[in-house]
This record gives sequence, C-alpha cells and structure tokens, in this order.
Amino acid sequence: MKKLFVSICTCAFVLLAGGWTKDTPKNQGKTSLRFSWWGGKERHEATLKVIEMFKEKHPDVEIISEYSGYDGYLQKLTTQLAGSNAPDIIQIDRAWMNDFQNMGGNLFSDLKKEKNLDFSNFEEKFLKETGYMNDTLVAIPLGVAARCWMYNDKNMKAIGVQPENITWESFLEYAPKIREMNTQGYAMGIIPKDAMRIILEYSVQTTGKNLFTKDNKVQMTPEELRIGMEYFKKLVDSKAVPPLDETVVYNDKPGDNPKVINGNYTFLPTWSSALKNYSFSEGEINMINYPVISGAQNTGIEVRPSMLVAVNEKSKNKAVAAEFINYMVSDEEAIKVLQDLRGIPASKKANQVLEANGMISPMQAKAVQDGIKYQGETINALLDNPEIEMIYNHIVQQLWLGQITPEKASKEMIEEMTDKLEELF
Amino acid sequence: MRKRFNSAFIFIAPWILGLLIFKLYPFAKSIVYSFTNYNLISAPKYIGLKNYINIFTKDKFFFDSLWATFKFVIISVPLKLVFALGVAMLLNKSFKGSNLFRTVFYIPSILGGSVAVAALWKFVFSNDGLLNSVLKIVGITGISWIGNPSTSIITLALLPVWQFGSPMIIFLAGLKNIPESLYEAAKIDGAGKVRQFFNITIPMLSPVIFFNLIMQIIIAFQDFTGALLITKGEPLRKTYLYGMYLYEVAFKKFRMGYASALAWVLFVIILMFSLFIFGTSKKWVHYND
Repeated sequence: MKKLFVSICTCAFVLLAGGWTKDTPKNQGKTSLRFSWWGGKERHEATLKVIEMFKEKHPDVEIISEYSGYDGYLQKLTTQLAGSNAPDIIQIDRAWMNDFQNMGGNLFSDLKKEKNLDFSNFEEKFLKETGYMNDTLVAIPLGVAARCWMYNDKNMKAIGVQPENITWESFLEYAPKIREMNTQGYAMGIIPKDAMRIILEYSVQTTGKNLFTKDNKVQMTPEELRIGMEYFKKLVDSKAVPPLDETVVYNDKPGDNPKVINGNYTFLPTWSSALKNYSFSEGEINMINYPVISGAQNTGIEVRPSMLVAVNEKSKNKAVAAEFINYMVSDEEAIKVLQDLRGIPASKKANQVLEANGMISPMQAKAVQDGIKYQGETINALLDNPEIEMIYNHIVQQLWLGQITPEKASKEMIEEMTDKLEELF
Repeated sequence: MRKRFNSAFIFIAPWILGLLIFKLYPFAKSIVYSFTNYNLISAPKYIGLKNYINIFTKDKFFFDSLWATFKFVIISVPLKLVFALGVAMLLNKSFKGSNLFRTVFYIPSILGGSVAVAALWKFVFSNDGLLNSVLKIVGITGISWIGNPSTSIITLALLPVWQFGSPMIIFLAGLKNIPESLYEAAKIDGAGKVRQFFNITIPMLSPVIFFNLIMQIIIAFQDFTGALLITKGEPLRKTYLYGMYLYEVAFKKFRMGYASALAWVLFVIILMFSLFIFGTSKKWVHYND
C-alpha cells in the first residue's frame, strides 16, 4: 500500500510540474485584451510602444501582444479561431478574407456597430472594396499599397534611359542593352507569381477585361489571356528575365536572392509597402508605375490594403478593442510612432499628421499617389488564393521553361481555374 | 503481485495517457474526418467516399506529389543505409577516440529536421552557392541544383542521407554481435575482405538491415521539412513531396477532411510497401536461432 501511495505522489508531482498549474490572473479587475499582428522588428517595436501609450491613458486596460513574422501566422490564427481562443484584435491580410468568408460562421465582429470607431477617417469607397465580408464591415484597412516597378538607378543611368518613358515594347528593346552592361543580372528579376501579374497586366490593359469577376468567376477567354502570355514569352526569349531556375528557389522570399541584394536585376515588380524592405549593395533604389498601353480602358494598376485589422466576434470587450483601433489610426502621438510601418496609412488623419511631420518615405508616397491616380478596375484578390496560386504557378513555370506554348498555357489555365472556382464557390 | 502491477501501471500512466490523447484519439478521429468536408470553423459535413474518389480521379497534385515522393524514397533510403553501414564499419574498429567519433557522427541526426540545416542546404546548392563556387575554382560552371527541374529532387534527397545517425547506431550494435570467430575462420580459409563482407557481414547483419530498411522507408515517405523550407515543392512540382502536399491541404487550404483522407492513403501506401518488404524478407533475412 505504501508503495502505491508513493507512486501516486510521484505521478501527481510529475504531472503538476509538467504544467498543470495555472497562473492566477495578475491583473484582476482590469479589462484584458489580446492583439495579434505580424511584421518585422521595426513594426513590432513601434506597435509595442503604442500599446504602452494606450495603457498609460487607460490604466484599467491590459493589452497582451502576440506578434510574429508572416510565416505561420495564418495557421496559428485559424487554429485559434477554430478553438475559440483567438485574440480580440486581429491583424489580417486581404488574401485570407475570401477563405474566411468561405469557412462560414461569423468570425469577425460588425464594426459599424462600434461607436468608438470614427469612420469619417476613411474613404467609404476604399472600405467597401476592402473590409467587407458578406455585406458587413469586419475589417479596417491600416495601410495602402500599390503595385509598382522598383528599379536600380545606377543601371538605368548607365544605359541613359529615363525609366518613366518605358513602354512594354521599348522595355523589350532595352533589355539586351541592360544585360550587356550588367552581365551578372537581367533586366527584370521576377518569380513565377510576378510573371503571372505581368501576364495579367498586359492582358487587362489590352482587352480592358479582368481575369476574374467580383463574384469569383473566370471571365477572360483563353484568347485574351494568351495576349499577356505571348508578351511574357517574349520576355523569356529575349532574356529580359532570368532563367526560371535562378529565381524559382526564392519563390516565397524574393528578397533573399543574392542577385536582388546585389542590385543585379535592374527592375523588380513589387508592392510599394515592400520598397523599404530592399536595399541594393550597388546603386540606388527608385520606383516607377509600370507601363500602361496608350489608350488602355483599364490600366490594371492595383491598389490594395497592405493589411487590415478586425475584432474577434467572440471578444468580450469589443468596445475597448474598437477604441484601441481608433487610437492607432487617429491619435496624433500614436500615428507618429507607427508612421508608415504598415504601408501608407489608409486613415486620412494619419496621412495628414505624417505628411506635416515629413515622416512618409517619399518613394512609397509617390507609388501610392500615382497608384491611386492611375488605378485600374482590378479584381485580383483571387491571385492570393492558395488553390488558384497552385494552378497558375505551375503553368507559368511550364511556359517559362518552354515546355508549353502560350496558346496551350492560356487554354489550360482558364479551364483549370474555371473548374476550381466552381468547386470552391 | 497485484500491487506490483498497480504501481507499474501508475508509473506508465502518463505515457499511456499521452498515447491515448495525443496519438490514438487523433488517429481514430482522422478516419472520421476523412469522410467529411471540414474546414476547422464550420462543423464537419459528411460526404461519404467523395474525398477518396476525388484523390484518385481528379487530383493532379496527388499523382505529382506521389511520384516525387517515390523518387525521393528510392534515392534517399538506399544511399542513407549504405552510408550508415559504411560509417558504422569504420567506427566498429577500436582506435583512440572512437567513442568520440561515434558521438560526433550522430550529431547531424540531432540537427536533422531543423530549419537551420535546410537553410544551409539552400546555401550550398543554390545558384551562387558553395558547391558552385568550389566547382568554379576547378573550371566547371555549375547549374542551379535546386532550381533545375531535373536535379532538384536528387539534391533534396541527399539531405536526409546526411542524417544517417540512428541507422548507424543500430548497424554498429549489429556489427558488434557478429562473432569474431567467423571472420577468423574465413581468414584461415583464405577469404579476402570483400568476400568476408558479402558472405559474413551482410548475411549476419540482415535482420538489422531489414529493420533499418523498413524504418527508413516509413520515415522517408513522410519527410517534408526539406521540401517546405528549401524548394516549396518547386520547380514544376518536382519536389512536391507528399508530406508537403498534405500539410498545404490541411494548413494552407484548411481542408481538413481531404487532408485526413490523403493521410490515410499514405498510410495504406506505406503499409503496402512494408508488407512487400516483409514478404521478400524470408529470402534474404537470416536469423541466427
């Protein structure tokens, strides 16, 4: 009997030591909120500081930060949402909103019900295009990003061409010159996903038609998509872009490519919010909007929220959560700390404050301003859907390697996407 | 006797609980999920055999990833075993510091699945990587080992070969069990080293080889770290290992039902391979008793 007792005690001890203890809440009587976001070091530091500032003003509120990099953020968030233990305030990516809507259930709270949020700070049109899910406003865009072409100033000066004057056709002419001058690199360093965007931009500008409709159907015909594919094929054949094997390895992190870091690729299509992630070891970074065919009905230039923030439907403190979000986008001190670390702010107040204090990087500001000015009617959110991405990623690679003609590639892509979207929606 | 049984049971209880809660329950539950459409948020919806039917009739990715995985297993497992056996035979000789070397050679296996090693692999085999820089010195222009569709799967399959530690330790134990007298007798009969290896070492070691082969095949079929971290399955899905496909279906597309069905298909495939090897084992595995 004694032995049994001892072993029970041992077991109990082991189990307790293994983490069955639970901390008593340190902040009894306080309203406790959790806020999760992804980002890099700078964004983490600024956000943590703003949280501290908010807590100083509201001593009865405790905000627990849960921050990480982008990798794995969605996986963790979805698991938390499924287990009903997701944070109260959640930073989300536009790319996921379709999926969240598809998953069913009310995941995020209706923000229009929150009195603490001042919507006059935002363009209603932009909110409509970005933050709605099933006709409910569930997320506030924090920043704006526009698609642009980043380039290496040094290389362009060397061939003596004004980047602003580049057209799709003249780019094909300049490409060999750039290559001659800089044999290490190519005129444009792209990964398959960028290639897909170039194909689309060219097709959209030529035909005025988007690949998808707003209700998630394919509307481009294979013939229309082929126009863009043929242009991309020309880029490959004239060696304006590197061979596939040089960039495909960096499909998820193009910025890790040594040739990108060294500034060997003269042009890099990217998002304005990513401009500050890059620096070249040789040459200066600058940006232009990408070329537009003269007389195009639709420029295809895409402006999107860099990220959004939502409130968990299951949160017990929605009012405080809304107040904190409002603080982030409208308090002058908070704006000065957060700056443009989440892209050019979507909030009007934030823009005014940052501009008055010279806190916006001029390049990023120009990219977004031009982007909005020339913005096309783009419906590209589906390009971030993992199932759709898998389809075009493969076909673009086949086209790149010359295993498939533009004609066959466009036919297959339209067919596969049509089938997939029927299955998904 | 009963008392002793009780206390033994209590001591092993944490492990049994762990097995029940974290292994057996999810294992059983995944069969149920494999017949449903389940996205983690909405309740699972029963759809019968539809997931399984779709896998075999509609799913291009399934066949691509299965093919990539077969290649991966066929390249990596034999290489790993040969390598492990070779090192084990070297370490079987006693020399000064042989214990130290046994530990040192095991280290890669501990680091094995880590992110750092995968990053290292990318560094060595990429276009401007270490390997190509070395080749350049001797005047050979290298290729992009992981970016090229024809070499990428081979490069990826070399990664687990490097983690030969555990089969090596098992081989080492097996080698120690071969009586020295057999080698002495063979030597007196005039058998050379090669003859001794094929006629004594291999047959005597066959149960251990059999065990290692089965284990390594099971492990290789489920491998995915390298594919996820180094190549993301590209180029052209040539390195899209089954484990990675399964992971993406579950945690990128959040189709848990379909992912469960994929997992069970993999289970059956591994089972068939194991049974096949068990079937052949009568012909080549020799037990002493």
